[in-house]
Amino acid sequence: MKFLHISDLHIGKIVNGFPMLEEQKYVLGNILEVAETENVKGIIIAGDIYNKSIPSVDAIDVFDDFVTKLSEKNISSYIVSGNHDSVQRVSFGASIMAKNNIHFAKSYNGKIEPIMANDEEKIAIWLLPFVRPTDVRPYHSEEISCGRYQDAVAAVVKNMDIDKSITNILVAHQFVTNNGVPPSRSESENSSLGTLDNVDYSVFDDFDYVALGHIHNPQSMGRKTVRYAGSPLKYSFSEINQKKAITVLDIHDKKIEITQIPIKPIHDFKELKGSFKDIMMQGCNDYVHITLTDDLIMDVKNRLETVFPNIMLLDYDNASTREKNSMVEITNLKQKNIFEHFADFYYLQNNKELNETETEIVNSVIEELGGAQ
Amino acid sequence: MKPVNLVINAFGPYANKVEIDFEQFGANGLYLITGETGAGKTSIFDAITFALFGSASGQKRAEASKSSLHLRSDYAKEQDDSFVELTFICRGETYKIFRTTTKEVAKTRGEGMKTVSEKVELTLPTGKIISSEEDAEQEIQKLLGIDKNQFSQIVMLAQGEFLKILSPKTKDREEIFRKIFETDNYKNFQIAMQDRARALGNKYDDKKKSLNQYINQIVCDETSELFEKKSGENAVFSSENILNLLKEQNDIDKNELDKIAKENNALQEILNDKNVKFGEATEIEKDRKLLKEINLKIPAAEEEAKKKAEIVALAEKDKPEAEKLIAKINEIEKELAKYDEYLAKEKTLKTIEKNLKSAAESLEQEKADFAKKEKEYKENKAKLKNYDSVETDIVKIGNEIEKNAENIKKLNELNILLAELKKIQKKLDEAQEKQLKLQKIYTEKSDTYNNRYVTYLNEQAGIIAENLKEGEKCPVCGSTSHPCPAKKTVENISKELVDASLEEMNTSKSNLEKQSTATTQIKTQKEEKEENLLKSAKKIFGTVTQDTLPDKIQEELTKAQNNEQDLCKKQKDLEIKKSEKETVAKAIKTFEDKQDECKNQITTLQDNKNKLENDKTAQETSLAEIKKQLSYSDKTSAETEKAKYQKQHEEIVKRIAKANKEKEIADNNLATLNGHLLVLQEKTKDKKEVDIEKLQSEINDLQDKTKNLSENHNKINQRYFSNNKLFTNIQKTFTEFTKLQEENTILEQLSDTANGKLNSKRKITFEQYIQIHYFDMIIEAANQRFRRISNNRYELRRKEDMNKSGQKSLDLNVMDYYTGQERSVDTLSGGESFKAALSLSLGLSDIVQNQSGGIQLDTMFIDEGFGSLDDESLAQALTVLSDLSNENRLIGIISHITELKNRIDRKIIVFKTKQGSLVSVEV
Repeated sequence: MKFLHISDLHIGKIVNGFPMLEEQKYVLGNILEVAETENVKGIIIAGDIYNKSIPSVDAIDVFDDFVTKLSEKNISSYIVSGNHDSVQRVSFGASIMAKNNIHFAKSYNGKIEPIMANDEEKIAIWLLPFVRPTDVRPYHSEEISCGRYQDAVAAVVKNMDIDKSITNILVAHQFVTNNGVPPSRSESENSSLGTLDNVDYSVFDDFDYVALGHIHNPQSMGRKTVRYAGSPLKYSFSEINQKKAITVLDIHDKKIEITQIPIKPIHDFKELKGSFKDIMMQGCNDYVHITLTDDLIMDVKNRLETVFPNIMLLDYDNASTREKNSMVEITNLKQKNIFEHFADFYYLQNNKELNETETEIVNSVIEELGGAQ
Repeated sequence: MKPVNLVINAFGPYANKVEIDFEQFGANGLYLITGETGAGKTSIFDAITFALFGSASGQKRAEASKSSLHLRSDYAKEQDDSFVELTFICRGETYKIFRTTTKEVAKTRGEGMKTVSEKVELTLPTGKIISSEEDAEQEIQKLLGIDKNQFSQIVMLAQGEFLKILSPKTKDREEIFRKIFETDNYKNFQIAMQDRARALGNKYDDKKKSLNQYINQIVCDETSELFEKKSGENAVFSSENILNLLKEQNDIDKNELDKIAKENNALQEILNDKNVKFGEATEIEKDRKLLKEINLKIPAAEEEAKKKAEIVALAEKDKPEAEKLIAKINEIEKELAKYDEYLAKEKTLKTIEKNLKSAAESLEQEKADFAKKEKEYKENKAKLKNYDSVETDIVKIGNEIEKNAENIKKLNELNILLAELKKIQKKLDEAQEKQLKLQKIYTEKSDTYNNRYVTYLNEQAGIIAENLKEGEKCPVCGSTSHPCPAKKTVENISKELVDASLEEMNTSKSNLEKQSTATTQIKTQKEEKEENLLKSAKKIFGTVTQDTLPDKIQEELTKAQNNEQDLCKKQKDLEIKKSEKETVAKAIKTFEDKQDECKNQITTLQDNKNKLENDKTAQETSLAEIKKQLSYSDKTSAETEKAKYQKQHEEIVKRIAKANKEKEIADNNLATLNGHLLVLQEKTKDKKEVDIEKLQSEINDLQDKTKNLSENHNKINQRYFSNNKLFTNIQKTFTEFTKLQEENTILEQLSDTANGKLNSKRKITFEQYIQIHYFDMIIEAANQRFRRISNNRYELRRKEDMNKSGQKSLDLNVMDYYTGQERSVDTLSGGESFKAALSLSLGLSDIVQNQSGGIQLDTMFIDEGFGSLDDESLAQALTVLSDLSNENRLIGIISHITELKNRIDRKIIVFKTKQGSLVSVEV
């Protein structure tokens, strides 16, 4: 049986002022085509469907369209919400949707029942939405000690009745590490501010495949079958070299074959660096990050925009910026006493040094004030 | 300063006590304070500011008054204090500060409210407690290193306030930097320099003025060159020239003076000689005149002396008369004493008579009283006999009252029994009714059952009959012929229905039986009660029927009650009589005791009266004796006589003395005149005549000549002396003046430099120069974050004003790399402004910590402002803040934005209830 595994759609996201909605629509269209051509049984979406907990209406329309089309083509969907989504909003009407084989994970309530995708063989798909320790604590308070994500997720897994004789697929959205080693990260992910939110991959040992979301660079953690699908589009310039792809799972008798089909967006992300003249020759419609090596140029953005309609970032890399970026020397002004400061100031204003009489006068005034500072 | 624990009570929207434990958030990182609008989020920061400094954050919320009354919660009960208690760590030590707001309580005396003022208690780690407002303020300043204004600039970005960091004009920023970086010293240096320059400038001016004055005072001829030079405008500057000319003039004058002096001396000698001669001549002339006068006066004086002698002789004739008068006066004096004695004795007599009269009166009075009392005593004794029988009567009445009461009680009991009987009767009637009803039901049910049973049987029969076939045996009777088989009825009666009916019938039967027993019970009860009643009634009334009983009881009852009233009244009368008896007995006893006393009193008074009568007679006799000895009628007439004699004597004596004195004067006058005559005659013997007039005119001429010479001399002398003095003064002053000129130039240069008043250069003061240094550093530190947060589009720049004035040297511009031009920070949008302000305040706090070393700002609060950011900017801002918080700083964010709620795990949630706000902490 074949499945597609994608995640981190972030529908409705705006990157550097540019709405990604059209790109996302295009890419989702591609995914639909692939699903059809590969003849998959179902598609797994592992979280971060939207970019905000209350998404815009356009974003909702796009996702609605996507899921409806999948259903029309008789492809089942297995969807969990991520840390950017509001789990209750995303899973509205989950039980009704399930009747049309669109499965949403509801917010954690103590026990997860698997969804059976039975065709040639029995496959149990477990949907676990993004959980924080506070979400799990009401149900398994004894097992969670100090509010660590690791313990919370472990507790949830422990309370699942897993039948090891069949294929078990877990769909989850967490920050999973490999023995403390984190995955390779991009700028566009947002982790929770202020807490340790990593979960070690060993927690998922009982599952044959773990379809993860949250990290935007496609990669496996610990073993090949614990895998981040990655985002379908680049969402920051740190991802510029990543190969965005759709993960295809081929399952036979508990054996899982993993392949990837690359995704091509409408506009790519590019970084350009050079002098203004050179860069003006390389005009394109991609999302560019331009670094100019010249010194200051007047009205530079408007002029560049004539050849680059989609400039996301623009900065300079010249002698003065290099100087500024080096560690700024914060002098402690208190190192000089008031006489020395005044001597400098006097020189600055009069272009000559203080002579003897002047020095004497200045010193006497300072003394009057109560000692040199 | 890192907060550890915060307790708020009745403060702002918090009605009761609310506690926030910051330790749960750890040592660094971000935490969020969230809740509905108006729930009390900013109030938490208000509380922290208030605890530290005594007034709330931001200008809008702290009114100008010193009173913090507005911070007190409206929900607070009057006796509760509104207080804030903040425990915080500073430089590794734990401090606790407790502060109450002002509150109004009702006055204990009078109407209206009085204000209870703020209290503060700062507990140091040593355990010492500071409770004085000023001391606490000082201590906090020392600990934190910044005061409230600085705190609100650097540590707390209050709601809507962050723009204040971006947009103040140079003047305001100057103020802020002065406070934070303590550039006061530089400013003071400026001022001191200026003062010194000014002082020196004044001295220079004064010197110039005095030099001018001296020069003006030079006296000289108006046509001379000297005059020309000295009246010029800037005479002071040609001082040297003037000095030379002056010296020349002085030398000339000196020579002239010497010459005149010599001439004058010669003339003076001649004049003296002539004056002496003139004096002698005038003397002699005067004496001769006087001699002639005296000769004329002498004869008149002799005549006068003779007349006076005659008058004296006349006066002396009266002397013997005077001596006679003296003798008479002495006699009268001797008698005066006796008059006084007589008057005294008269007075005593009058007193005695008065006493006698009052003594007689009191005696009569006493006797009358005693007689009256005796009469009363005899009357009382007679009365006593009437009261003998009172006691026994009282006892008899008492018994009768008791018996009556008994009666009444018995009658009441009967009434009660009657009532009970009636009740039971009613109950019985009810029970019987119920029984009848049940009976009816039972009959019904029974009938129904019977009917049904019959029908059922018929039915059965019918059923059986149905299956009957001719020639087959009947199951019931065995017969093979069935002439008249039963027919099934239309109704379908089942066994169950029949059984049901049977059940019902049985149930109703048992109900009926139960009711019947109950009824009989009640009946027996009733009969018992009736018996009891009739038995009791018989005891009181004899034979009587139940019907007439109630009326009879009532009759008897009324009678008994009336009787009771009469008896009571009689009892009261007897009681009154008894008390009267006691009063009389007491009066009798009193009199018997006092009898003897009264009799004694009367005798004493009688004795007194007799004694007084004797005194009176004695006094009268002595009085008669004295009167015989007096010659005049009374003292006054004796004294008038004496006075008359005294006056006459005085007149005579006076007359004699006056005459004697006048004679003496006349004699003296004559003697003087004679003496004078002799002297003058001696003086004017052999003297010559002299021509006085000619002498006089010679003298006058000489005087005129000398006067002229003197005048001339004086004039020149004056001029010479004054100019001489001036010469030295001018010389001295001029040297000082030159020196001051030099010094002044130097000092002006220094002062102008320090105070930014140099004409050619940029006009910045010394202090501004230092501040610009700081400002540049701050901007650089700010830019490191601002660049990142604006994706390298913007940079903050200090405004370099084109017209070289220092007035704008601390204003900010923003550099937009997209256009390559600078523009004012006011042109940034709300969200961009917030980013700029945030970067700037972070930069500011960096530099402050760097410079002061002592200030540790490991905590920061940001109140709203995130609402103006879009999602991306929000994410960027949070990244910047979280980087910052990782360096051991705890940053608190107030916001109601949902995205932040999702991204930040550690939260303080404030929610409104009907009774104020409450707080819950989530980690």
